[in-house]
Amino acid sequence: MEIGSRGCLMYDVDPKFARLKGRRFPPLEKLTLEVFPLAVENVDYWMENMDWSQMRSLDFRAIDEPTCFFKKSMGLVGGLPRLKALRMELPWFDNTRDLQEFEDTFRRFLGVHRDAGLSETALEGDYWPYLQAILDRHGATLKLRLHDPERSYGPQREMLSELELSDLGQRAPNLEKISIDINYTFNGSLVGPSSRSPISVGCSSIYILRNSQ
Amino acid sequence: MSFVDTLLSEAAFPSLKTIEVFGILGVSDEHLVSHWSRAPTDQYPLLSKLTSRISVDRVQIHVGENRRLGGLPASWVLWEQGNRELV
Repeated sequence: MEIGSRGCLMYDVDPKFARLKGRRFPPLEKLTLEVFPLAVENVDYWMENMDWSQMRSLDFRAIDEPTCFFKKSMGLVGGLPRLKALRMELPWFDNTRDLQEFEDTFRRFLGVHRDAGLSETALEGDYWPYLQAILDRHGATLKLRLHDPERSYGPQREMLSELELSDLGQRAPNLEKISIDINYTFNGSLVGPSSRSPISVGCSSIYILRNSQ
Repeated sequence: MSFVDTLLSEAAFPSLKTIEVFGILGVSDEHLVSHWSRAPTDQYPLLSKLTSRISVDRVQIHVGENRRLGGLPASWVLWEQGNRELV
């Protein structure tokens, strides 16, 4: 966690560390949480007692139940108007209801209007449910990192199809950096046909023109 | 046009400067890791291809997340324009 320009790095802190009795923090600019329990009561306290107006970067790694954070942040007056960078290890849920709630919430969070679009987005894990929302809202301003870890067993992760990649280029025309999975083997072949339904695309005419298949 | 050709297309990605790729390992992991970490660019088809676009000045490839290798990153290759050797 960084607080203000000088920053503050904390390890092994109590989840309730923010309860510093009446103290208000300077505007937060960057928040990095790793393996941290985001209990609703903590999020409520943070939202109420911290100034989120200057928040530029969110970096969540191995966070259980992050849904409440994104939900509450959308309820802030002004939201997170300066947010430019979002890095997220996408969480696992053991039931579909919680997963669905997170997907819906996170998509809405990605679609919130801010001063400008996100300039850097890094999603690790099953990023497919959010790709459309990212490109719709932030494609023009983006550096993009999409990565689903390699599978040890069973069906291999899904890649973007060639057409989806082409569409991504159309919708993120200023993309200077791309991080992407390629299931590519030593002999130069791509691994495994995609069984996933393709993401829907908006620019159908351009899409068709680029369809070389 | 192949997937990699699309990625390298100036028309599809006109501003692209940095490409980072997460590859996977094949069945002969040990051999591949050894080969990958030593291979010059002209012997490695993917890396060679990715570095062929002149306006791209940085290519980074990761492999070895696979837990069959004990959870250690097995290898990565970094290439930067102006330094055509692996770094």
